[in-house]
Amino acid sequence: MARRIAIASPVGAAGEAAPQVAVRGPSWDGRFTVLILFLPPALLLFTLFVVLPIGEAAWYSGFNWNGFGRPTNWIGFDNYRFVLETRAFWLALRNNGLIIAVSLAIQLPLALTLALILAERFRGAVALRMLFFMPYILAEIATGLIFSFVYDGDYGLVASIWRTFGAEPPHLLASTDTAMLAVLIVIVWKYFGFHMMLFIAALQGLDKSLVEAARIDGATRSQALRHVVIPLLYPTIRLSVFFAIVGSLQLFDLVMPLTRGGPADSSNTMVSFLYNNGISRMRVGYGSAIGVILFVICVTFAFTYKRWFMRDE
Amino acid sequence: MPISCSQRYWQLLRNSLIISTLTVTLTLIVASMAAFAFAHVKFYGSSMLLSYLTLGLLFPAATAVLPLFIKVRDLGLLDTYFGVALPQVAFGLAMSVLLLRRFFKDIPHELLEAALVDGCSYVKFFRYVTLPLSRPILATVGTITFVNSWNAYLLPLVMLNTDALYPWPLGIMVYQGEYSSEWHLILAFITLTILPTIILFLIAQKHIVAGLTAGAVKG
Repeated sequence: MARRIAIASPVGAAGEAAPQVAVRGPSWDGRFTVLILFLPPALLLFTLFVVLPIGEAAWYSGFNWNGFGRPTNWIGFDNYRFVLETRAFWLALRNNGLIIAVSLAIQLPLALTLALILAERFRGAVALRMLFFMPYILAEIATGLIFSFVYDGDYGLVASIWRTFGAEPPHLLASTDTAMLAVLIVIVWKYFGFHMMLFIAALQGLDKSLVEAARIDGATRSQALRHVVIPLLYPTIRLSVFFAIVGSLQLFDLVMPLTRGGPADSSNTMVSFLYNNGISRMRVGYGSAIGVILFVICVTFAFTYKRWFMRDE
Repeated sequence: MPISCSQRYWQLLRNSLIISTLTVTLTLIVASMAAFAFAHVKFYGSSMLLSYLTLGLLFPAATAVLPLFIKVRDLGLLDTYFGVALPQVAFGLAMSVLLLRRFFKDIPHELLEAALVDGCSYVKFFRYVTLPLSRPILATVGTITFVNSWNAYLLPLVMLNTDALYPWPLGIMVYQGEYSSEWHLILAFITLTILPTIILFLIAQKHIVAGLTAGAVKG
């Protein structure tokens, strides 16, 4: 009852001290209960399955260990040396670089152009957006399998196109020259819709009056686009670049059904390299070293990028 | 025998459904509780703990997958549904907590104060006010988590050894291995397994698009 009176008093301009004293006592107990009940599950799960494994990866990477018993064979930094001496590691790193380059040079302009068209209201715009977005929610495994059919040199779509021109169809995924190219095409196909949706969401949030003002002041459509719309989209572009890079660094599911990283490691990404060399052979120390290198790349990149390009967000 | 009638197909779907449901349920419970604490309770270290959680956004699960495997093995969860679901929940937490917290913060604080003054506890307020008001964001987070878990490949691949427990992405890879060039069978199998995703997408497209782009913007 006392509390009810306390809440009424500030209305009567009786000063602010009284209600605060009345409320603070019981509500602190309540707050304490919430903290004790509500935070630990999340923190525990996160610490146990996300943070600790990263720390342990750093620890295990110092051992030559196959995962059975306890790690005893300490070899210092040798695992890192082995990783850096493997040619396949540098190939994988190069492939991740290629994915990033293609994302920036082809996927991003494509997504932006489509977004500029499909953000307008016209019949079918929404249906087209959904159609282009569809590949993004399709499972990577399914996408990879579908495209390994498309690329199949005997039965696939590519093969039948080649045959109509009377040429002998290539086995794109089986050649070291073309396997990565084929994977890159699938990556663009799968992810451009996501970036397009990011841009559409941003375009719909834009202040239309700015474009109208520019048009009234005599700017042509393309001038307004170039000098008003695109600069307003810079935050989203930076974000899209960020996602393209982070996504490339963790690409795995798509590569497995297409090539498994082959032939001759020519289409490995960092993660498929980690899988093929660490996990599938249970070389825990070696695999952990690859994991730690990948972790360092991701975290360094994320912090630098945030510091340089996304200061205001 | 048509694939749709085969025991194998239904078993894969059942396994996927169990793992995804577990992941979604646990994520929603654990993340909404934490998000509520972060949104409505001021305490020392709050922002520090939140940035600790958001560290999870910075690196992919794959980096620590070997130690994670050993951890799950030591916990005796290898080859169980929980062995896949729990790490999935843990890796999805950062994004889920951020999305939920942002929504919870928009619930007027006066509402909470009034309820507290009237003798309602924080926990009851969470259960009877916050959660019912937050259905849209819960649906969004739930849908994204579901799609991610439904499509996941790496974690189940590492954590499960028994065919009988395989979710569909693993099962379909095995299937492809067995019928390597009988594309009509494999494509039929793929069509049948992506059908649920497409149906879900058509039903929940608003949530999926909103969640993915909103989640992204805050990422």
